[in-house]
Amino acid sequence: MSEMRQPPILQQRKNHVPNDIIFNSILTRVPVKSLMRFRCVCKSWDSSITTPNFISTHLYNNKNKHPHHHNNANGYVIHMPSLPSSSNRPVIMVAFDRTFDRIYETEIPSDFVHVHIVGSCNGLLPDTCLRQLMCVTLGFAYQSENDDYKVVRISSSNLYGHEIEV
Amino acid sequence: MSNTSENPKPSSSSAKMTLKTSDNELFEVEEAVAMKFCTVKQYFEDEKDSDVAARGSTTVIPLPNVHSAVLATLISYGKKLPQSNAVADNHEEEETKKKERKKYEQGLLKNLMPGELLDLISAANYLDFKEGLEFFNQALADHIQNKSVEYVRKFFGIKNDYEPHEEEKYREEYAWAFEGVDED
Repeated sequence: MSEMRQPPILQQRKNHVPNDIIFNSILTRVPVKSLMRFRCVCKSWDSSITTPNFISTHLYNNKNKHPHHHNNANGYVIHMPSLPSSSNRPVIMVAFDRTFDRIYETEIPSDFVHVHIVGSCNGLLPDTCLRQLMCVTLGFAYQSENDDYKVVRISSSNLYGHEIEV
Repeated sequence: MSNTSENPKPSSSSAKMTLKTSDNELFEVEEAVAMKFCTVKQYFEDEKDSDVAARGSTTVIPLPNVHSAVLATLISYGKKLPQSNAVADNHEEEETKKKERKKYEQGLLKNLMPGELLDLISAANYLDFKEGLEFFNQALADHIQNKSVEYVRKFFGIKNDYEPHEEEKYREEYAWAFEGVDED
């Protein structure tokens, strides 16, 4: 469907889908692989897609998807490494699939981190067995007392035998 | 769209209202359907307060931001939704209706040009038509998810503000995200 012929009347009018709909209602419904590609569309898309707010909305939308929906194979898994005071810019690592092959690092503002476990998602991967993963959302909360960040390591509880440490 | 001689009963399912589009077409719509457009609902409720509707005259609600072709599709979609004033169906009837709706939705999407999705979303947003927004947003997401960056730029009319070397670097680093994409 590559042609974009439109009825003449509609051609004249400009697209006026507001940006907030594009980001909050449309891009939150595309899989992670698409999002990573679409960061290349332009710089403002890149910055919008990589905000924690967008990521958490996307993750929230997608965790509820039907387990056998193909999009579910692309859920975010967030791994946040513990940070001793070596760096003053905390970084989270986001894995884009359950093999942890594809990792993306993003910086987040140091004040705005709160991680909570929202539940597990099951899914069937094409050539692997059933895994259970914890899906994590980022919300906004102020971590007051200290600057230490919690280590949250999320991985398959069955295959890798890792603990969930918080 | 003629004036009725009796008082229309707001709660009756046969009550109709008239919507007028940007290209001056008039659509007579059942109230139950029109009320799914929250913008219209608000307008109607404001009008009710102002005594006009109580006199039984037909209110014409102007929709200056919506073209007739787009409204026709939204109304058609709205009619297929479960109606809030409908008698509750038994399970079998409900299943049948669900299937019909799925079939209708597939047919609808097949016949739409991609650019029309933008019009529909824009109009559904203006009308505050939640179910329509949900459906067409998802349809658009499904449509673009496997498209190339160039396609998406063209589709939304976005100018690329990356330097060529920046873009190249990004594409190399995240090459996996660019695999298996639909041909333009």
